[in-house]
Amino acid sequence: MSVPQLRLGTRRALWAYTFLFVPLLFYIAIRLGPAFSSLYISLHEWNLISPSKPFVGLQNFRLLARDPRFVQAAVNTVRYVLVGIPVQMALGLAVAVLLQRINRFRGLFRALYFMPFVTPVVAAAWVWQWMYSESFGPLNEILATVGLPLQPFLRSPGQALYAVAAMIIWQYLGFQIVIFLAGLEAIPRVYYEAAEVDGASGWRLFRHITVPLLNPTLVFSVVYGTIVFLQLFTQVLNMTFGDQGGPLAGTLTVVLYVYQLGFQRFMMGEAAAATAVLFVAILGITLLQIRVLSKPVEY
Amino acid sequence: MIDFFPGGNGYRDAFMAGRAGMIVDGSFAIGSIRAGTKAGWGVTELPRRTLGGEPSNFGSYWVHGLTVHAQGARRDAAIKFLKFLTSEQVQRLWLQQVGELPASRKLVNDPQLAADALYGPFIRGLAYARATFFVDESAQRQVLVDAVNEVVVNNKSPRQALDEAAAKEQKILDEFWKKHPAK
Repeated sequence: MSVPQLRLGTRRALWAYTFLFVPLLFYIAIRLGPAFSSLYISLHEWNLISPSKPFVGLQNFRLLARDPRFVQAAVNTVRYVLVGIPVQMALGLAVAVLLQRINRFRGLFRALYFMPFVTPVVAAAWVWQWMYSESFGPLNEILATVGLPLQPFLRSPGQALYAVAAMIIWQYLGFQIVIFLAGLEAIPRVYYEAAEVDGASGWRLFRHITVPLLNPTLVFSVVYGTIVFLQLFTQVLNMTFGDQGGPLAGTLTVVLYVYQLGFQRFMMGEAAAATAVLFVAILGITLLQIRVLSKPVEY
Repeated sequence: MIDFFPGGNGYRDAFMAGRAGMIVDGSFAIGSIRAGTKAGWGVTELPRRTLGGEPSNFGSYWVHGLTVHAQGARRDAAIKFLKFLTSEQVQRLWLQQVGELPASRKLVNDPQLAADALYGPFIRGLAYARATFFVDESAQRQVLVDAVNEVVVNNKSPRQALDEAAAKEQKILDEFWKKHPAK
């Protein structure tokens, strides 16, 4: 059999496609395939251990809309984003700007701030659960020492969500700082120098040079951080292990509820429907953020 | 107080660490408490609400089963294995290692076991224990956990919390039986 002669460029491209094809196949099999099959499952009454799985149209979505736990999970998830993102952005940017100003120990500080991000999530969540413990945790010990009233933290439906959000902010802060630092480094010094010659300083430099030129970085950070909060699961499950998502569904997230529906109660149809709702929400919110936040800057 | 003590089995860990003086637990906890508790400890039956009142106890159980997919030679092998699991020898080993009461009348009626300081109270409690038929265990558990929290955290009256929990649980049961009519 004779092999047709191919040009070198064509041969190279073929090689590249061959290598790209393998991960693509893997991606289709473990990512895209299951995503589409979960859409299919969401239209069925799909009890994991029942042999009959009838088609029920949009019934699972109707059940979710009437399910107070799902509604609570959705509201909580939005609250995590609304609480977490502004705090995370403000702290991340503030620390990054400060880090950029110092010359000595900058690497050390950066490493220290980054450390929570590379700490195993489950271990960190359990340590935080201990720190928040009403009767045995160090936080209440500090409060008691300085004479302030003890707090229930994770034991209170009103405080628990904020206690969990604080842990996520701590965990991702280092990552945001590194992204912001890279963005800050990319802003040419000459803009600041020129503005200083014109008499601008301090807050005005930050407001009119740093913020606009950091916009692409800010958009990335907000979108990434939002997706992290929308997909919140591991930290909540481990910090409220005895009553997952509790107390009284105060920390419950959509993903944790999907897990409970699907893998504790075997109601795969409703779990898949909740996943579809979350997918549409993440897609919509991300597109909206990119649209609203992205501003081209010309100087 | 579900999360009184941090950890996956908070209340039991608290007892083993000497932070809680008394806990309500199943016989399945005997193994780990025996292995992990340094202080002296003992077992007794659940208290009654009033002196000389009606005793009450909850008996949970789990079952070994065969699925519809087990057919032919596999089914025979599975039955053989189940017989082995429920044999006196295995149940005795299970009792000694885990502490769970054996699913064997012969062993439960064993006078030596009934006189045992640790297992005896559990066996006496069996006489008046009731078991719950779970149709959706995690949902039914959540109903009761929420009811306890409504009382402990939200200061709801126990009567009201219990009534609401009963209504929620009834709804779960009704939905199940509507879908799976009893044959």
